[in-house]
Amino acid sequence: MEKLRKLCTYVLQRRSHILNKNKLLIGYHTSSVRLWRDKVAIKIEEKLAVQHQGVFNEILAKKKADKTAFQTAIAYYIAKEKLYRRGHVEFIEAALHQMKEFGVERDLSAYKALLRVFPEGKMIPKSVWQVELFHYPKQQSCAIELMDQMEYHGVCPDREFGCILESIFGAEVHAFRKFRRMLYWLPKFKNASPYPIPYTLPIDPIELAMLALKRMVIDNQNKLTVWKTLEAEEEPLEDTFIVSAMSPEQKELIEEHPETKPLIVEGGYKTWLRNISQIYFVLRADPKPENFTKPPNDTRYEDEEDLFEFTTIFEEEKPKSVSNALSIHEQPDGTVLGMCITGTSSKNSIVTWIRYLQQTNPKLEKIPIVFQMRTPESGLQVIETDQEQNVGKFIS
Amino acid sequence: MFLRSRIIGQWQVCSKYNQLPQISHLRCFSSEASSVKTEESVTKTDKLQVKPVKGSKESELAKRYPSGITNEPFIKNLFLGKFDKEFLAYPEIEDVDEVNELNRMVQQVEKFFTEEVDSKSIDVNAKIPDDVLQKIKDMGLFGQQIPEEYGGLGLNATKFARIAEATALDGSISVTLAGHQSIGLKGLLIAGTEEQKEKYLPRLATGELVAAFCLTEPSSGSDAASIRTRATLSEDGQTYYLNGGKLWISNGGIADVFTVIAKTEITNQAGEKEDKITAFFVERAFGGVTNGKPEDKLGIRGSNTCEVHFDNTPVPVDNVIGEVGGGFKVAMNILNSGRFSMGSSSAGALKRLLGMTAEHATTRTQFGKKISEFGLIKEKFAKMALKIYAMESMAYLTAGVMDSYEKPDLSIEAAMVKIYSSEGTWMCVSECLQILGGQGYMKDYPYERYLRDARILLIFEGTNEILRLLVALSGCQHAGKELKNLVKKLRNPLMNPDVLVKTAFRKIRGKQLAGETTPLYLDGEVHPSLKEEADKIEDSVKMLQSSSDHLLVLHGNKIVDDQMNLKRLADIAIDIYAMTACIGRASRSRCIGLQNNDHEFLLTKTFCEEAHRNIKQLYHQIIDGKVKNLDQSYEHIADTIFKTGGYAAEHPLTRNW
Repeated sequence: MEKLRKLCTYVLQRRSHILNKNKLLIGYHTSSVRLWRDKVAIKIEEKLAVQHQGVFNEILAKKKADKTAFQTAIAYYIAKEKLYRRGHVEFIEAALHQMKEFGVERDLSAYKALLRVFPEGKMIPKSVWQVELFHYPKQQSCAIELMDQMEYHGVCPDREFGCILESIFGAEVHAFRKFRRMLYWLPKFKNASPYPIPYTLPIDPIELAMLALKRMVIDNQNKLTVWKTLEAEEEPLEDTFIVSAMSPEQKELIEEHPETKPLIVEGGYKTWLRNISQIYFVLRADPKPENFTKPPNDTRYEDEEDLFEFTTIFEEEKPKSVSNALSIHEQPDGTVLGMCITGTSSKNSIVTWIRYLQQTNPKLEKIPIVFQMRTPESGLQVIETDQEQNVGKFIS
Repeated sequence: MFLRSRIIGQWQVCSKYNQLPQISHLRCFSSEASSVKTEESVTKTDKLQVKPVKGSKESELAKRYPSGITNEPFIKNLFLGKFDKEFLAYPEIEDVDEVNELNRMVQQVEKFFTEEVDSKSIDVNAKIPDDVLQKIKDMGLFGQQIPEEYGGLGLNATKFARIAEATALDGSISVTLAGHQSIGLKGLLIAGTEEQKEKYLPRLATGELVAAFCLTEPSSGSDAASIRTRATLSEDGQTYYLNGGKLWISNGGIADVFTVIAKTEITNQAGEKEDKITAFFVERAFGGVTNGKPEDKLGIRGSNTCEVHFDNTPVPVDNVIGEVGGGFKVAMNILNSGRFSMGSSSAGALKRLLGMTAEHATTRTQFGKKISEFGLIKEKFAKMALKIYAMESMAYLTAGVMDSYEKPDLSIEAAMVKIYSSEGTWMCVSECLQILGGQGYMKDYPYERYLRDARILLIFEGTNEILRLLVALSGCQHAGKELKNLVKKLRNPLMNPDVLVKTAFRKIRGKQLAGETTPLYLDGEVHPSLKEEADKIEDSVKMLQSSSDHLLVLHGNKIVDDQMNLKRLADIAIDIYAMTACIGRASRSRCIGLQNNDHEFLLTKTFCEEAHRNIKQLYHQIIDGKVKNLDQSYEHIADTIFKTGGYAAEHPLTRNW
């Protein structure tokens, strides 16, 4: 009983250790296989792993960490282990950890190069028993781990990848099944999003901001405008850029907005593009409750009196049948009139944005604007402006 | 004057006397006159009345229709399952001399168009030569519908349609004429005051003044109510100042007077100020009228189309057409009244094109045979003939009925003529080009010009889509008013179980939800050899009624949004109208023994079979619902396209990994 308890504790410790070490999604196969190995073997493995890690560190010290450096490391290993490929599992594992540093974690050819480190031919099972009993478990687990990492980064394997895998493990084993599942699902997931983002994001923050805004706007008439404060005015409050999204319909809504009711600038909200987050701000008006009191598909009214009393567009200038449809910007929680992303997300830049908007929307000069801003750093802040000029005092 | 002929009597009666059916002229104003019972008609046939019914009946009618005698709406009543049998009596011009006179006129016009008008150069130079235009004016063609007391030809609808057949030989001239008199000056004829008429009509009739109709704007196409051109009243209340731009105005560059539709601010009954549309008659001489350069167009290139701008143009209040704020109705009436002639003009041009194509088919040899011997070519010719026959029949039926009443209510019928003839023309011209092969495509031959000219027919004077909605919605509105109570009860079945059971029984027995279930006895109105066809009309009317009932119950007021089914309803109604016209015409031709009447007879039989088949299909589609008839799929597909901003499917060569 005592023995069993010890074993359990040990198993749990090892498991958490491995998980911490890898910081990756480790599949069932990998962990379960490892659990049944003895301490000595694990120690040797760790030693080897450290040794291989060293290879990468060495190269990192000499060269710039990029794809060629990564490939050099692999070539170096293969050249060294021409005959036996000793410790290839450990090498691959070490390499998987380093991929991010070399910036190749989303590069299929890097994974292929890494897969070629496995020796070819000798691990192909020769009977169904071998297939089902997880032939060469450590190696297969390693290959599955590699594919897991690909999956995590959204890298889809291709036919060549499958060929390499087949020449190493054969087409029946678990690793190859994993490959087939990936080939089935990943291409489908790749295009599942109705708001696609390019696979490699641009580096320029302006382009990123444009991409984020384009993804959020629902009106396809929308126009993006970019201002760089340095170019737009002589003495800017700060050096930054402003990307503003506003459609002609939103301009009309601003024109129709009564001067007595204030508009609200809200933000900053976070939006994500893959692993990059940006902060955006919204110019909105309070919702018009009268637009939303009667549900649009309420048939109770017509049942009573005016059933079939409709007039058509051919008889009347303002026929009863055609109601003024709400624009998509008029939502129950507010009418969205514009959005922006600025370089600094500061209060000044948002005020500048409103000032720029006034050039094309003269009505904005007459409407009071309330700034309800909550940047991640500053908590809730409200800036209220005077009617004449929009740069006003703060109320925190 | 113009009277409508009607075959009185039933075939049974005639065969009893073993003689051909007698023809008598009878003035028929209302459907009452048509719904004569069999016994009555027997007595009438016996007496063989020739004199028109006058006296008490007319005064009674005048009492009933104070603003002028009007017809029962034909198409609207079809939606209720009622059929006005008057429409099966094909109209003709009463006076033989009048017909001869008209034919002389047509011959003269036709001769002029064949010999003196060079359509090719008009097309290439995109201008009608001034001398040609002057000759057309001299012939009086600029004042065809203007009454004789104002110096016009005073043609009625039928004669106008007949002349249009000849003027349609050149598309550009035809459109120029239409822009001038079908829409440009029509406002004055419909709603103008006596002074306005006296002031302008004589000069318009001679072509001294050319008119144009200005409605379309950059922001306002089919939706006439959304125009932005504005007329503001001066402080002394004597002048309106007109500001705004109009787009794609036929004759815009050459016109001296314009019918302009603009928004004005008026005070309504409640005392509030609101924007209403008003029609103005504007002279170019008022000042502030400019126009852009003529548009370069696909077809009808010789006609002048351009932008017209009004910059503070002063218009005296005397030049308001109709009432201030009543311009929308004026505009709609102008457009509605101009459409019927498209049927005859299209038919005129098509008949000529068909002749040329037939000549080609009978002379061209391929594989050792004349191509006219090939089945596929024969099929094309037959189908074209069917279309032409139907559009011609519809056009002259509409025109004839129009002439029989003081205030005809035929806007829906006219819209149907326009829809059917424009689409038929496009199909026919396209098929002609197919038969002509390479020749049809070359600019050296006239055929491709016909194709280009024909394309506009589907677009202008109200696009066919909008007109289909007009047809279907008017019908549904009419039917809806009758069905209102029934539908209300049907929608609340727990409170009205008896109505539910009753309608369920009616449905099971294949009857309509409401209305008469007795047969229409249409075969009594036509030549007995067309009995089968008359039965097809009756069957079709039943289907139209059932399907519109079905949709009304299903949608209630939201029927206005189910455009795809409205289109089906409109198509059924159009086919019924075409069948009616064809049967009436063929019946008349056979009874009076016109040349080739057996050909007409065959055309009618074929057309009715085709139309009936088509109607059955449409009926089933409506009953099947939006999933089975694919409407839902169409909606989804289109939505995706709009969302992605174009064709959404990936390229077939795209790889995903």
